[in-house]
Amino acid sequence: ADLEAKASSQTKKDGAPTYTILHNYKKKLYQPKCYLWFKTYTGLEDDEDFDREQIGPAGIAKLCEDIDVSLETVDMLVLAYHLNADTMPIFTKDEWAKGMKKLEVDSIERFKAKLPGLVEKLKDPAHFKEFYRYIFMFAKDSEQKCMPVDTACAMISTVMKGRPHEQRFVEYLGVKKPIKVINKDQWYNFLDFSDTISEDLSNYDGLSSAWPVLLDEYVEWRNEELA
Amino acid sequence: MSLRRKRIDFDTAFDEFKRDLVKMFDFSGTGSVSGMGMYQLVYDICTAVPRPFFEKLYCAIAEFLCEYAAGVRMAILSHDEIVPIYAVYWKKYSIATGYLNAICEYLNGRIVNQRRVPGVSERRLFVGTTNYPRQDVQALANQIWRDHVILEIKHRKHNRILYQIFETIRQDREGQPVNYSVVQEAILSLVALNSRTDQPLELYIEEFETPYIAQIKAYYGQESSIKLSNCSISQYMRSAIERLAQEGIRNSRYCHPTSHARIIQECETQYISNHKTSIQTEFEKMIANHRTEDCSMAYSLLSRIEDGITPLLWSFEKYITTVGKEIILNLGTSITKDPREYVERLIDLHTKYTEVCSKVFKNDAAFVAALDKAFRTIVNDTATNTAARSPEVIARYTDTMLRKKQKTGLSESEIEDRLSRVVILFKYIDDKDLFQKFYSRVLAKRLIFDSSLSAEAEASMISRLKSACGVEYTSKLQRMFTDMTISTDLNTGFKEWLQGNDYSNGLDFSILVLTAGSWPVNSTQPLEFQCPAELEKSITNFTTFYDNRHSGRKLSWFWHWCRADVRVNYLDKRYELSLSLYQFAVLAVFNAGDSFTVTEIREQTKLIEFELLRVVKSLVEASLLIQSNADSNLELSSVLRLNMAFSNKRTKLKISGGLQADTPQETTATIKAVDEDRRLCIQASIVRIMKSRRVLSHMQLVQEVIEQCKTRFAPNVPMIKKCIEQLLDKQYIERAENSLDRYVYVT
Repeated sequence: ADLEAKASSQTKKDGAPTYTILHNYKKKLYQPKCYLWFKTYTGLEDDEDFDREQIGPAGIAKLCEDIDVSLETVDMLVLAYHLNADTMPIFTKDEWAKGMKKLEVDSIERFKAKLPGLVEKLKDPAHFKEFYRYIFMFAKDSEQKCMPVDTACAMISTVMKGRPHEQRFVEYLGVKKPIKVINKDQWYNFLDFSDTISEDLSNYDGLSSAWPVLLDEYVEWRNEELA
Repeated sequence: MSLRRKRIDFDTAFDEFKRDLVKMFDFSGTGSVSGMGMYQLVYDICTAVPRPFFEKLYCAIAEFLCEYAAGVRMAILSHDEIVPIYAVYWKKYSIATGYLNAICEYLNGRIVNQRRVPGVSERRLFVGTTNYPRQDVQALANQIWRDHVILEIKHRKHNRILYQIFETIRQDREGQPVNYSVVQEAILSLVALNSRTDQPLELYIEEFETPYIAQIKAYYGQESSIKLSNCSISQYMRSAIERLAQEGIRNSRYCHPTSHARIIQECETQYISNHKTSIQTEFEKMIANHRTEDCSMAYSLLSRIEDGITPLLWSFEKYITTVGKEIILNLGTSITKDPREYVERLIDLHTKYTEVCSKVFKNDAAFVAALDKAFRTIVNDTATNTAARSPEVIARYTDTMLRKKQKTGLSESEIEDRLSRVVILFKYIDDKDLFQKFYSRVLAKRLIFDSSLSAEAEASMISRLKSACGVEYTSKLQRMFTDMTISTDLNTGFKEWLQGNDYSNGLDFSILVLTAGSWPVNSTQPLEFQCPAELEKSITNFTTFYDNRHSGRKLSWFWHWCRADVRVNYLDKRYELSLSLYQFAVLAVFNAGDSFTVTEIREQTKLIEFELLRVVKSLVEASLLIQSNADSNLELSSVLRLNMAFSNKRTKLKISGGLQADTPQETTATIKAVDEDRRLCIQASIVRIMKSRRVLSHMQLVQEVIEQCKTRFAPNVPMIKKCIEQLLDKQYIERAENSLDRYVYVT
């Protein structure tokens, strides 16, 4: 099967075979193998509380090890985005099957090969925005409207790493504790804020703009610090 | 008059004509010159056969006029004072040329009309071989005078006429008597001379107005600078006003109306604009030292120039603000105890400067606006003195005026007057909703405790608020009055019902039924309370009675608003006590014995500890009860005895007084309630605006919300932003895609 798969990627590069053949071929090929791969992460000892058809936190940790990435980096969130996973920290069988099929991946090696490209794609602003907005939905408890501020800080540090205001904003949330939860509007707006407001806040125009009050207060905090 | 064309000899005819002409211009042969004869001659010459001589005649007349004008020039120049002579000659010339023009009417027609003959390929603009344009004789005469007298003297004789004119005016300016009528005639000749040309004022402006304005500039430029450095501002302004008035008169003495504005403007530039900062900086002192005359001079001067009064407005506003803030600051915490000083001193300040506005600044709208702005700052300033919370203070002031049995010593009309003036301050309050809340609290107390001065005074105050803020603003207050009227009827009905059913138990029992929502009572109250057995019967009766009348209505009892008037039997005198219901309940416990602990009283009355201690303390302070361990604090274990030795000079005593005052908790609760109301008000207005506009930018939305809310309070931007976020969260509105500061209404 491995050989055949290689052949498929070969043909894809040439762009020769028709879609239907490839489709049928893929259907036969990926599912069993992909499923077996999936099963290696389910039912782990530490994931006793989780369904046997789900990957839980321990499974994800193992997955990280297998593909040589750290949980602290954006990689695992990129995977979640492509699997369109609904709730952190779970990957369901369905999400896995659909997502991996879309990625045309069924093994550790293939995934490792694919991953850098996926991360690279985040440099496209429109794509990143979609990814960033997805994270809010993924990282909050699906029953809640808002995200606990601790989760939000962790997510911002991971997703927004190196972008303007990332560190200072997280620091603000941690030090001043202005809120307990972050809502969707605040989350969405932080990306726009980071994209448009310069690091030294010189182009921030006060109460005349539509930034959420949380961001106004962040600016105030920064200005107090400067003064 | 003969119209027949004749064959004539031009020289002979013109000689005859010239003889009369000379007489006319010399004014020597008055009476012997026949206008008709000359007219006929002109006609004959112009219609002569075989060739008419009209061009020749025109040239001959021109030649005569030139000679005459040259002669006049010589005559004029032979005098030292040439202006009066010029005026005399000019007058004669203008009269004579007027006649001449009439006599030459036929000639004029021929000369002028030929210009308009159609089909002439090359339009002959000049007469014959001369360079006189085709114009009537009057215009020709004007041109000749201008060239041969005015311009000739200007160019060859150092402009002596105009020089002397300016010199005369300068003497006039320095106060020497002059004959200005001749000067005016000379000046206006410049206008008359060009009156028949395309630019009738050109000569006047060029020869007179422009140099005249330049002289004014130099003269007043120098004079104003000297005055300013030698005199006080006050003297300077006085002389400026004087000079401007003089120049106004001088204008009408000498100049053509078209120059008046320009000349005055130059005077203003020199005397006002160039030194305006000196006046403007001094203005602050003028206001502060009440130099009203100076103020009005400064105003009348600076209002003549563009933007002149702007700094005055600013100083005016700043000064009033400072004075107002000083008043507030000096009152300190006394405002909390007595609102009268605050209100009355601010009203006095307002009255004073309203008068200044009308007397000094002629009710200029800009100054009235500056006064308003200053007062808005003062009234809404809580930073200077935290006790000066105007909505509360002013509401309390109205209460001191409207409560009866006040020791103010004011007559009813004086009270009316103060209340009508307090509305002036009320109008400046930003947080009118807060005022409304406090007003309704004090009003409620007046109505419930029956302590209102008079129904008329109350009604007129309400109508004043209504006219300032609209019907909606007072509707809740109005409903409180309605409840009072209904309750009066209800009590009458209740008494009849009691008698009819023979339920009377000797208690005089009256009830107020108040609509929930219209009254400023906190719905979380009433506290738990066991009504004394003495009243149980009456309460049951009333509940039955009321249920019969209005079935399905729920009555909640507001015990803490109730009062009881009781008569005591256990003392030497039959004292009548006016008590709150809680006080009564506590005293009623002592019907069963002479001594109880606080805990025992609590078991009977079910009052919470905090309230109970407050009530018991008030009775101990009134000496009705005696605390056995008087030195220590009142607590649950304290033992209380009835004071059997109580004595007082009066038999009617009011014990409830101290309990009626607003507690700090009530005040905070009021402010909190207002905050919540505002939030709702802002949210409602956001939804209204977004519903009608669909898409709106952040700034516009904030503006419109402020506009909608400002009659009730001044919403601050962070609060509006918070409300917007709440609505975003509730998905009434959402942010527009691809735009950072636009909102969209969600249908």
